[in-house]
Amino acid sequence: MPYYPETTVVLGSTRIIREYKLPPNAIGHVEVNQGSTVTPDTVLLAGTVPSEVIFLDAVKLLGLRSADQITEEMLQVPLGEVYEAGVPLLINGKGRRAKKVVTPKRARFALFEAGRVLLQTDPQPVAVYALMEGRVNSASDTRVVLETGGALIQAAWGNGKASYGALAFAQEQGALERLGFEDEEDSGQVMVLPESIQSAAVFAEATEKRWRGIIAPSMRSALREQARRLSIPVILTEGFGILPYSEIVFNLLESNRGRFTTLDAVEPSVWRSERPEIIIPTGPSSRLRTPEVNLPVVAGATIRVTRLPHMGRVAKVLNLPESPITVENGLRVAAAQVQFSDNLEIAFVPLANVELIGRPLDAPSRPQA
Amino acid sequence: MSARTKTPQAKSGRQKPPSSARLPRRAPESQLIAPAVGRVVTADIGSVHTRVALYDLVEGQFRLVGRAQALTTAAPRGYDVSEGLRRALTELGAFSGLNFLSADQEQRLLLGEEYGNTFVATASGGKPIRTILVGLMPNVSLESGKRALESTYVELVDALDLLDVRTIEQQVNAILRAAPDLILIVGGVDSGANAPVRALIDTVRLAAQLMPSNKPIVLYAGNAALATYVREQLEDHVVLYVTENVRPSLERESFDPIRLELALLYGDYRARTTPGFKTVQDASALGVLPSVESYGNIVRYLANAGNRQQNVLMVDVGSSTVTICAMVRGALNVTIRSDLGLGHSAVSAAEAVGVRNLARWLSFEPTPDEIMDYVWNKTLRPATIPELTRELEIEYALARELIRAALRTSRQGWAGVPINAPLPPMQPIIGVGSVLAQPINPGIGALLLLDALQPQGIADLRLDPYGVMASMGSLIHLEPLTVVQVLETGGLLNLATAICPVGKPSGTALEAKVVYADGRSREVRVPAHTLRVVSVPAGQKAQVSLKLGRGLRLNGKRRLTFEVEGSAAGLIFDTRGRPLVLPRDLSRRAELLPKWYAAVQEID
Repeated sequence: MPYYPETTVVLGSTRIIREYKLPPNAIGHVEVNQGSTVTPDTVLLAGTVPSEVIFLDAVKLLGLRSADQITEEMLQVPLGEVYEAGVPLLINGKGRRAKKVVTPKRARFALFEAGRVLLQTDPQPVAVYALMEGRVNSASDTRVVLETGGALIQAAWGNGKASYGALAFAQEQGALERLGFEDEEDSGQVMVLPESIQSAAVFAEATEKRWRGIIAPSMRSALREQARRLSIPVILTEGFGILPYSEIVFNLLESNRGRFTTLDAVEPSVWRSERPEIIIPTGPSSRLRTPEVNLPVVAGATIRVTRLPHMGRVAKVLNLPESPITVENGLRVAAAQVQFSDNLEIAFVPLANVELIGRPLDAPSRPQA
Repeated sequence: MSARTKTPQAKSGRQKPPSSARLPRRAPESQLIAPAVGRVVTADIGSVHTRVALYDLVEGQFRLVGRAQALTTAAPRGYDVSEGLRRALTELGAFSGLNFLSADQEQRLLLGEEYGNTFVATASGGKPIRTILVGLMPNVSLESGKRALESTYVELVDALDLLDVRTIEQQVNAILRAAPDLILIVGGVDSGANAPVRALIDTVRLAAQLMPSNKPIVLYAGNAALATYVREQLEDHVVLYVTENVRPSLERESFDPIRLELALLYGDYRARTTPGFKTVQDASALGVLPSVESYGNIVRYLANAGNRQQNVLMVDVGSSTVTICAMVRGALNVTIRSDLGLGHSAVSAAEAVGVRNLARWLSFEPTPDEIMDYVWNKTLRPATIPELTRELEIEYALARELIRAALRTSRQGWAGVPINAPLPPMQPIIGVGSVLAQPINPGIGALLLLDALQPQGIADLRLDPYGVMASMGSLIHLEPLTVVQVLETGGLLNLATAICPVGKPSGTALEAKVVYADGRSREVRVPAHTLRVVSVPAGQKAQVSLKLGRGLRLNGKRRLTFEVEGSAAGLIFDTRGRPLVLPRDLSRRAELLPKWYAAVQEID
């Protein structure tokens, strides 16, 4: 029976459609229109995230005996808006002897009921940036869908940050072709490290040299918290431990040396579908197709292995035996017979440990079922 | 978000409210009469796999006739859970020659009465429902609320009660910060004082009004006299469910209505948050019920199935949760540890049990980051399986420690059983989960259960490799007779019978004579501190006569004779003693652990 594995997209040229949203607790709006073209610095959505709620006893502050005595005329401003400190919300009476309810600090006038004023204080501004060139496919109250084309590498882990810059390789920073992002404060570079991160020294180097992001194949899991504290994105393409780059990933990065690159280092959550991504955008193009992710493993398909001892290796499926195969540790599992692309070695790998890499529908070498 | 109220009713209108005596104690004599339903198709949507099963009449009795599984398709972009179900159904269809999907491109689910079958679905996958519990007294209504919540997949993030020292302002902020998916309001006995409960309802309403999006679900199960007030106050601001009071009087708790409502609510919540879930929910006769509710139903049935009530223990080691369902001294106790799991929750699990505790089950010294790197990669790719022996050992170590940790939590709620006392007799002990059901050899699954639970006496170990517990536990609401037949015709796999004497073993721990039904016999002598397996093939029975060595007892005796049923792993003599002591010295462990693995796979 067909086996449908996970798909981790590693493609040099594909159509990329991404959704942008405000944080769940933010109140805000869309800043762009459908069909408009955006640049990396374009703000797509903007809003505020309120912090604490405070209650003000309007009955007491207005010098009244009960909430019934508060009239509509006393209300000075509309609800739902943000007001600076000292703005009168309700006033009872006139002149110097008037009693007032005023905002004690910058706050959103959230609710007024039963003689109580509820303020959401210190609303913090939030903005969601495009981080890449593209076109707005759709824009609604709280979400924007952006489309572009280019290379896409889905990765294993990210530290929750996002940025963009010129793709540079750690060994040859000096010789890098620059894209104009750099200045005295900023290298303008997204740095591809040659091997696994095994020490926090690389983070210090990133800060010192003002890198805009880090791409590495893997990292000691013990360094995770330090990576999360960095202000720049860190993306691991393979996972944790000492794992080298998958050949297909490294080749794709190398072929895009010096190009504008967006790092969306989403930290994978157990319950979220978003994955960390390296996007090297070339702009929207009608020729490009989105990768198909709903494919079974078939003979002839290109797969990538996701567990040791062949972790990260790319192979072609030769055969899908009907009977389970016994692997090194004795487990009998459904497996695929594959030929690795690096040394043409032939081996069996458990189907549970393979992933497809998202070949687009119109790709010439798409395997035939 | 539109407000609504729901009452606990099955979609088909056939649903019976759960009760502690849903099933007859014994399969009735009339069991050869076909139950009302025809073919039964079940689905259990887990975090990693979606399993489907087909039950049909064979020689007048309902039996499991086919099963299949596919990866659950909830996470990746562009997928929905119904896609994984379709894939599994395609495979089931190929095995059975039946069509469960329409032939057109739409691939509609051909499930339900109109297609000549009964379809029920359960789920355990997905993010636990973030829940705030609101009640009057911590040790009265809140305690009842907590016990009701044990029947589903929730993460309790805060609790508000009358003794809460926080101001209303602080309580509202706490609710907003917690961003709950569900607020369960309990409290107040029926016809009791209203004012304190009203105040709590007002606090919940204020918080709900201030939530920018994703209005929470509120389930009210408090003072029945306030149901109308609750509707007036909350209906416009939340998704509202109202059910019977969980604590109608100080002396009485009523769990069935609230547990059923939580089960229905779980399906509705998943349908709102997980793409494709609604498709499955619409096809299922009862919506999608939480698997744990089903486990509870089956454990309760098994505990009452014999001539006398017995203790039953079920352990489900999943990717994102470990669930213990125990019927102890007539009381059902359900523990769900959402921080423990072998895949999605592997990191939090390793942190919870400690790397040192995991390392003591390994026959090698792990490198400083090896275990944590392993669990991090497992969390990133939970569906993958270990290929290297070293990694498999880590996986088995995790399984043992997760069961131990979940059992410790569970035992806190076992009334009348001291936490540090040995595990009371359980008949049977049931293992659920891939790590137990699909190891190299059934003996390994038995070994993991023995190591983690350390039962004493004669332990009947069973396995649920086909998802029978989840599917039959939900079908019990519709067709109890079908469930009886499936369970009594081998729905659960007899894994092993373990003989675990108590005491300090030395020299020869026991001598046993096994007499098979065909008259053949075997005599074995088992030294202390070892494992030895004697074959009793599945479907057969054998009589076992035991003579225990000095200082050892089995069920309080030195000599005894009893009958055992055949099983996949066989009759396991475990003379390693209790509590099981693992050598600290690595070289001793490196010698001992491989011997244990080998012993349970070598059947005499």
